[in-house]
Amino acid sequence: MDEIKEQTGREQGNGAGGNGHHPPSGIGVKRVTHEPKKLGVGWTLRGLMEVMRGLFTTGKHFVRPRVTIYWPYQPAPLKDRFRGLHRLERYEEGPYRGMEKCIGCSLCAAICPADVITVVASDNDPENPKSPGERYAKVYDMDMLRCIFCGLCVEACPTEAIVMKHDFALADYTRHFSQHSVDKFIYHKEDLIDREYYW
Amino acid sequence: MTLDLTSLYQTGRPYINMLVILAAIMGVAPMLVWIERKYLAYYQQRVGPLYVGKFGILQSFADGIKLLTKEELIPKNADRLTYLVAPAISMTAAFIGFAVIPITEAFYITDVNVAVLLWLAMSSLGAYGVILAGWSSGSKYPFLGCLRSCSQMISYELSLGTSILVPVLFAGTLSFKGIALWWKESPLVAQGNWIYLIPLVIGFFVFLVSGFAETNRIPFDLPEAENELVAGYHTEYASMKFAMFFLGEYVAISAIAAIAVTAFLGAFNSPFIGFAFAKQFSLEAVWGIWGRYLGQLFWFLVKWFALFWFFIWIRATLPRFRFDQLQRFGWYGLLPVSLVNLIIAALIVYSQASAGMAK
Ligand code: SF4
Ligand code: SF4
Repeated sequence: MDEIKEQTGREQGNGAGGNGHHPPSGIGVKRVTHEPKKLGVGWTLRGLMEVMRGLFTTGKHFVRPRVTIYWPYQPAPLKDRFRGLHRLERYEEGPYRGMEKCIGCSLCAAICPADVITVVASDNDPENPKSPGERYAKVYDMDMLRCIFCGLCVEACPTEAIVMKHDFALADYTRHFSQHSVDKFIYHKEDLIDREYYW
Repeated sequence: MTLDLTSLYQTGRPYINMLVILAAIMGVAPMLVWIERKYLAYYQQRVGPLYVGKFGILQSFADGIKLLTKEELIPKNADRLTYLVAPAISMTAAFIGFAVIPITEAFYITDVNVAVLLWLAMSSLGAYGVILAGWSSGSKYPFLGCLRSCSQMISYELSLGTSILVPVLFAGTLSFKGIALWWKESPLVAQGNWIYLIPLVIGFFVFLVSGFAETNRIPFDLPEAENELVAGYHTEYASMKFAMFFLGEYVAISAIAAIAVTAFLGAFNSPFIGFAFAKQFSLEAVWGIWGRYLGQLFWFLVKWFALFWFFIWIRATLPRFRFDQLQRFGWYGLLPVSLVNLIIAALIVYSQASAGMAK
C-alpha cells in the first residue's frame, strides 16, 4: 500500500484519499472525495449571491443587441484571409499576360494533408506555351469533399497559382449535373481556372 | 315548468370553464415553447426562431406538425401497454393541476376544500408518467433517467409540500380560492403586518426551487441530461407520444407558476391592493364587477408570465447540478429550511392570534 501511495504521490495531505478501501484508479490520478460542504447561513447567502450575479450577467446579455447575421440575406462579414473555395489564377499583366500561373509542379498535391489534389503535368508547346515554365498542368482535379481548407496548397505553390477566395457555401442537394463532370464536388481545371467568385 | 337559466348556468359553469381553460392551455403551451426559445436566444444574443410566421411565432405549430407526421415507433423490448400509457399519465397529471387554480374570483374550474392536497397528489402522479416511461422503454438510458427522476421527485416533493403549508397555515384553508381571497384580508395587506412576509419569502424561495426540480427544469434536469443520458426518460419516444411529454412538461411549468402566484405572490389581487389610490384607479370603479374580474385576470396573467419568464431566465443562467449535489441540496438544504420556516410561520400565527385575543 505504501509503495503504491508513493507512486501516486498525490494522495498524501489530509489522508482522505488514501484510506486503503479502494485501490488507486491510476498512477497520478487524484481521488476526489465527496465530503458534505458546510451548510450554514453564510454559505446559503453566498450561493444566492452567486445565482444573482449569474442572473445579472445573463440579464445584461438579454438587453444587448443581437449578434446574429441574417445570412444569406445579409452579406457575411469575412476577414480578408478567410479560406474559401480555391481558384487557379492567370497572369494579369507583365510579359506573361494571359498565361496560367500553374507550372504543374505538384507541390500543392504533395503537401495536401487530405490528398485532395491530382496534378498531371505535361510539356508546354514552345510555340504556344500555356504557362511560363517548362510544363503546365494538363489535369488539375480537386476532390472538394475531402478538402479541409487548411490553405497549405496556397502556401506551397511557388508561383501563387492556386489561391483561396471567399466562397464558402458549397453544399448542394445533389452530386450530379455539374458543368464539367458527373460529380459536382470534384472540381476540374475548367471549374477552377478563372472561376467567378461572389464574395 | 320554466327553465331556470341562472341555476343552469351555475351547474354548467365548471364545464364551460373547463373547456375554456383546456383550450387556453392547449393554445398557450405552444406559445410558451416559442417564447422560451425566443427568450433563451435573446439571453445568448441570438434571434431565435424566425422564419415560420411573423417572428417565427408559428414555429412550435410547425414542430407539432412535424411530430404528428413522424413514424410511430414502439421499441421491441418495450412493455407495450405501459409504454403507451405513460405519456398520457404525464400529460393528464399536468393538466389536472389547473383544475383547482382560481384565475379570477369567478373563473375557475372547481374549488374543492382540499385543493392543495389534490394538486400535490397530481404532481406526484406526474412522476409516475416519467418513471413508467423510463421503465417500459426497455432501454438503459431511459431507465437511468427514470431512476434519477424517481429519487429527485421524492426528495423535492417534501420541501414542495412543506413550503406551501405556510400560506395554507396563514389562510387557514386548503383551498386555493380560499388562499387567494385571504390575501385581500390578510394582516399583511389589511394591517401592514410585515412579520408575515418573512416565512412567505423563504417559503416562496423553497417552493420555487422545488418547483424547478419537480418539473425537471434546468438546474435539476438530470432525468433528461443530454450529455449523459441521450434524452433521459423519453429517449425511446417518437412522434406524438414525445409531443405529449413535451406538452405535459410545459403545462406542468405553467401550473407550478400559477400555483406559486396563487400561494405566494398575492394570487389575482393587484399588487397595489394595500394602497388607497388603488381603489380609485381600479377597473372596478369604472366597470363594476366585470371590471374587477378583468383586473384580476390581468394581474394573474402578468404575475404568471413574470414567473414563467423567471423560469426561462434561470434556465439561461444556471448549469446542471451533479446528482449527489442535488440530493444533498434537497435533503440537507431545502427540507430543514422549509421545516424551520413552517415552525416560524406557526409561531407567528400563534403569537398574533394570542396578541389579538389579549386585546
Ligand atoms: S486547402 Fe488543404 S486540404 Fe484543401 S486542397 Fe489545399 S492543402 Fe489540400
Ligand atoms: S498550383 Fe502551384 S503548387 Fe500546384 S501544381 Fe500548380 S504551380 Fe505547382
